[in-house]
Amino acid sequence: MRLLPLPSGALRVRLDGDEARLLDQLTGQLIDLLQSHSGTALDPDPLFASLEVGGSEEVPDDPALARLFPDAYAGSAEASQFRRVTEQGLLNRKIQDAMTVTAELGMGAPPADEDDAEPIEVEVTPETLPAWVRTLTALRLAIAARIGLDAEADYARLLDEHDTRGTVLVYDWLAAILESMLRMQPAPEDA
Amino acid sequence: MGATRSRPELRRREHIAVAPEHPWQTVVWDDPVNLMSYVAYVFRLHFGFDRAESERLMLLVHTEGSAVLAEGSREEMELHVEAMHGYGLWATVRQGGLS
Repeated sequence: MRLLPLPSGALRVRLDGDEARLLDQLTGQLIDLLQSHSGTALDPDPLFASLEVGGSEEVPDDPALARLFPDAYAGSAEASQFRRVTEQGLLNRKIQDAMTVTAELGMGAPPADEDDAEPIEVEVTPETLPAWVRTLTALRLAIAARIGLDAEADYARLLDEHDTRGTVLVYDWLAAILESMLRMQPAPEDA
Repeated sequence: MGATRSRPELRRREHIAVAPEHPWQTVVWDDPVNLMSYVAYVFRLHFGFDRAESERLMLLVHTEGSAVLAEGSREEMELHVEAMHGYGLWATVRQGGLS
C-alpha cells in the first residue's frame, strides 16, 4: 500500500492486487452484515435512505453489530426509544459509506489466475475521505468484536494465538491504511 | 391569533428549555480499537475544534475513560451522539449534574 498526496488535495492510494482484493472482500462482508440487520431494502434515493426513520428495540445479539450500533443512553428505556428512531438511518449511511469504497475499488470478478491480480490505484478526495475512514473503522470494530478484542490487554494475547494471529495482522493492516490517510490528508483549516 | 393575554406558565417553560439547570451532555467513551489520530480527526471534523483542542479532548477520553464533548439541549446532544456512532465512536447522551 502506497499513498501519495496530490496537488488537488486528493490522495492517490496504490494497493497491490491481493490487498485490493482483500479490502474489497472485507467491505463486501461488512455490507452483508449490515444488510442482515436491516429492516428494509435500501432506498435507491441516497438522501432518503440516509434519513430513514426506524430501528430495532435492543442492542443486536451479534457482537460486531452491537459494537457498530451501541446504546445511546445508559437507561434501557431511553436507549430503546432512541434506537427505534435512528438505527435504520445510521445503518443505511454505513452501507452507503461501504458501497462508496467498493465502487471506488472497482473490483470485478476475481481474475482466473490469482497471480495476475494487478495493482490498483484509487483517488480519495476530501469528499470521499470520510466514507473511507468510517468504513475502515467499521471493519476494525467488527473484526475486534469477532475475535474478542475488548480491552487493550487482549491485543498481545490475540496476536500470539495461532487461531487469531492472521486476523490481528489484517486488523493492523487496516489501521496502517487509516493512519496513513489521516496523516497525509491536507491540513484542514483550523477553526 | 386574537388573544393577547400573557401566559406566564408558557413563558416559564420556555425559560427552562432555553437555560436548563442541568444541560444534556454528549459523552465520548474510550475504546481499545479506535486510533488516537482518528478520534482527534473526528472531533475536529464534526465539532469544528482546532487541532490543539481536538488532541486535548482525545487524550482526556484516552486517559480518563470519557470526556464531555458538548453540552446543550437534549435534541442537539442526540444528533451529536448519532454522528459519533456514525464514525464508530462509542458515545452516549446524559443529563449533566445528575450522576
